[in-house]
Amino acid sequence: MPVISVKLWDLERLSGVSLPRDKEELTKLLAIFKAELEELNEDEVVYEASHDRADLFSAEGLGRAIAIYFGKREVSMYKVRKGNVILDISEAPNYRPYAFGAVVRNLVLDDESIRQLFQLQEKLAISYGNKREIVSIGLYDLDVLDPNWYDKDTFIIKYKAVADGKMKPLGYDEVMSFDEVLEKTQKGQEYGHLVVRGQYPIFECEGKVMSLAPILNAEDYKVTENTRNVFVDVTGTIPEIMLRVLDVMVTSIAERSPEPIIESVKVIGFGYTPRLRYKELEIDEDDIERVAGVKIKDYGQHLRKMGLIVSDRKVIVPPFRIDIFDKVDLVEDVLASYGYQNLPREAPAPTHWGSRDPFYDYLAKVMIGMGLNEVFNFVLVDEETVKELLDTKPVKIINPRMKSFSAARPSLIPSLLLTVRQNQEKFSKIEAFEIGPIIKPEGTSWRLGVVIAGDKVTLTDVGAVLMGLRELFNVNVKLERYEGLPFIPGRAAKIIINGKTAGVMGEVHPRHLTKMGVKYPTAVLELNPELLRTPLHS
Amino acid sequence: MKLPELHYEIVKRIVNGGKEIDEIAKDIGRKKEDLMRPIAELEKEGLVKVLRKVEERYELSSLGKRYLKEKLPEEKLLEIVSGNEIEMSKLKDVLGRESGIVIGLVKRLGIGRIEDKKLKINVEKLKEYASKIRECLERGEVCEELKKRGFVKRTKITKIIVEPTERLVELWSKGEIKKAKVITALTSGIIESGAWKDAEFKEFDLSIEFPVRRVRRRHPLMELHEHVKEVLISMGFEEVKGEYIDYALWNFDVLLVPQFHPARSETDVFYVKGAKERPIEEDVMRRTEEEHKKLWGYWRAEIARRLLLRTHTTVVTARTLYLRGGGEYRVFSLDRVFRSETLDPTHSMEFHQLEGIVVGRNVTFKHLLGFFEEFAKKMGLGEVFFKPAYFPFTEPSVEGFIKHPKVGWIEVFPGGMFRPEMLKIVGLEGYQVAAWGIGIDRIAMMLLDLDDIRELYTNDLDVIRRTKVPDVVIKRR
Repeated sequence: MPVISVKLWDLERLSGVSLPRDKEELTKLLAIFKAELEELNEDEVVYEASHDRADLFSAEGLGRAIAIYFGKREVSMYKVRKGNVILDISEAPNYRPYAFGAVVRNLVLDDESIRQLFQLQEKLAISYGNKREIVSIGLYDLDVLDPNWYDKDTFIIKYKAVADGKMKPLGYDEVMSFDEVLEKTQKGQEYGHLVVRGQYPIFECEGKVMSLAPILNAEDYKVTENTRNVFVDVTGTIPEIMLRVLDVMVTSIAERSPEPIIESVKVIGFGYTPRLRYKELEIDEDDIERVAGVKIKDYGQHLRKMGLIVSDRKVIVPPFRIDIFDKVDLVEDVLASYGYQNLPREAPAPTHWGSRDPFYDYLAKVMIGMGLNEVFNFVLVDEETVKELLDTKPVKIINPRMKSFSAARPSLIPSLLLTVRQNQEKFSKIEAFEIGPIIKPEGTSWRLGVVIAGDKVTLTDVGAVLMGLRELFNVNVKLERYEGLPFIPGRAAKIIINGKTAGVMGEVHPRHLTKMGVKYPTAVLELNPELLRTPLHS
Repeated sequence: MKLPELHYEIVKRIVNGGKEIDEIAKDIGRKKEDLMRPIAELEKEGLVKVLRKVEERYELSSLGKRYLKEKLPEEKLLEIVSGNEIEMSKLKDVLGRESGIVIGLVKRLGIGRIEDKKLKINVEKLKEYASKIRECLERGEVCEELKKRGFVKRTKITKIIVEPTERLVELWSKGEIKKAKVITALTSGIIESGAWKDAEFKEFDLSIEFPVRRVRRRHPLMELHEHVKEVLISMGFEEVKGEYIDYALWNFDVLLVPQFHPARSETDVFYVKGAKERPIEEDVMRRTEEEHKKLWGYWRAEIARRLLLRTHTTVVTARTLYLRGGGEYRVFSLDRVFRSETLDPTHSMEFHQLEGIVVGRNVTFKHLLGFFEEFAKKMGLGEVFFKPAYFPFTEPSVEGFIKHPKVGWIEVFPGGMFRPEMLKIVGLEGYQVAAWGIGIDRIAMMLLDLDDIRELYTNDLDVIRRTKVPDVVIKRR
């Protein structure tokens, strides 16, 4: 979940609401919007925004939400005027084929609002753009780009792939080739993998390079305190998400103007953007009761407080609320405003008898009854250990974090040996069992594993356990010579229960003990407990 | 007949003739009091007779005891006499008050007289007399002279004399009286043979620490899981299980997690290779594509076909919905899930989730909140605080907090009502599903009083033994 930093004074300026300086009060207020207060340092508020509430990824949206919640203002119906900017994407690179744009005019900016817009742009690109892969955003000062841009009938900006080029990247003093931008700048190193060298996606206007998308903008056209009119671009691979992100971006920028003017950009071959779509949904008291189990008569009031436009059953969703798709989303807003703590709670009386398979817990008790200790081991083990001990290829993690947990155990035997190693310094005899899952290429199943380690331990020690199980569960047990790993040849057996191969037992070869760092003679048994469940009928 | 050791020792000493208890005690090397009980028991058995004899006897008086240590007056006299006489004044100077005693004595014995202020004595006779007295005193012999001089006094004492009975003598002579064995540990042989009747049980010294019998117990985590399952069954749930490796389809797509969502990235999820592909549910794929395109405008089949280690057990409950369809039922799954984490005190790449769903025509959000409250009550977790939350596949969604005694409010109860889009994907219409996925490890650590998740997921037998038994299991309710 994105972590957002805002200033209280900025929020108050945006919302017109004086806000609590108290941690608890602020936590409660933020909870209504599914945000969680993380820190409050003097005037700085750090909160974790909910992933779905993209409109709250900066102060603009949160300020707006608070203002509406406290009745300071209503939701604006944003009007989009047709502008003169044309975005030509006909030469876009095919690996990043889309670019949309919008113009917002009449802005009044300062340090803090610029910081907020950059934060919003960054957080949207992470959460909705999969770290700029599918969406990234750029902002430019139109008046610096061309002081006469607004007087022109058409002002053409091109999004296109170029083999090479130069620009002075944002925050740098020197002009760099695009290759250099990728190598020398921090953003270049971070996002360079998203572009194909020799097919650099750039924004260009009147021969000037505005940005290398999705890496860095050019220093020359950056947004400053003097900026009045901005061009916003989004580039990416999924148009639908790009359009939503652009809506959030544009409506947020508009908050930084006393009288914002939003102008659309004509994207050649696609149409006009931003779309600023208002969704229409219907809801009534019964819908809420059906989902929440509670009648809330003044739900309309709650919805209004949460920033929706309500007339009777009709609800209009403003474009920045990209989290709302269905009635149920409206229900949640009603409940959040109503207060979760005020909702009725009713433990549902059982409709059926509960049930579960008691066998594995029973088996565990049987093993404890045999004087063995129950242990827990991870399913994830070291891939190499598995290969060496068992001579099989386990299911492997493509992206492991630690070598010790790089594959799924296809048997409990590695875990049983780890158990001995863990305990051998404290105990001179280790007698333990584990009932746990194993993963083989064909799927997950459960095994019973027994390990007995100590001086003079032999196959007899685990064999006796097997005989105990045979007696208790009344099954037929046959043993066959077993030559496989990791046992001493001639001192291991394949276990056959009621005619089916159930598992193995044996004395672990000293070669493997040494490799695993186990110092005591160790005998193990592993079997499929399911086969204990069919007693012989005589 | 077998006698306990002390009994035997007593009998041995008196079988050839009665003896006084003091003598026996001294001989055995025990206190007289220690013998009283065994003697009473022997008497009851008819082996000994106990005679109490009151006897008169002389013993040294305090004067006698004094002269045992000091010189007698006459001995002092003998030291200062010169020739056979001594000046009266010198006698009084040296002997003081005892001069009168010694004068009376020599007169009574007729071996001395006073003349010219001098005491004249028969030295030879007095020497003889004095050495006899000294001898009597030292030997403890009651001679007449001691009585006369008040060096001894007469007292009455009760003597306890233990005498053999005829039975004892007879048994002894036949060799039938034997020393009993001391039993430090009974054996079945002793019980069966009745040898215990004549045996003596060695008394335990309770001040010595007993050795510890090591507890073999279920792993504490499993102990707790058993309890959790019991609670859920009492609330009408059935347990279900599922595969650990599944398609991203079930782990993410069915749950409406957009394919570009960061939670699906390789930094968060373990993707696997080497697992056999199971047939994928094509109808689910089709409906998933439809819903994803509606919600996110984007969906690619190959991303849904990636195999991974499940990151939550919702895969199991979601599949249960798909397989079972509508109806009124509740299932839960308590099992392992995996996330790409580095193992440390607060993170584990492998952990447990407790997941459940309540399916029905009229299941609502209030039932979900009610479920959490009831579960918390049954687990002894106290009050639950609810806040709005976000999960892609539930709406409305909730996060329930409980109060941890050390760290304050912690999030343990996430849940919500499955979204209509998700229900459509699994093919459920006309039903509502309340779903929850509880981070049971945090609850387990709290109840087991552990601060390090590696002590929860442990194969260390020492840690397993030391882990506290949770209150919820042992406290009477």
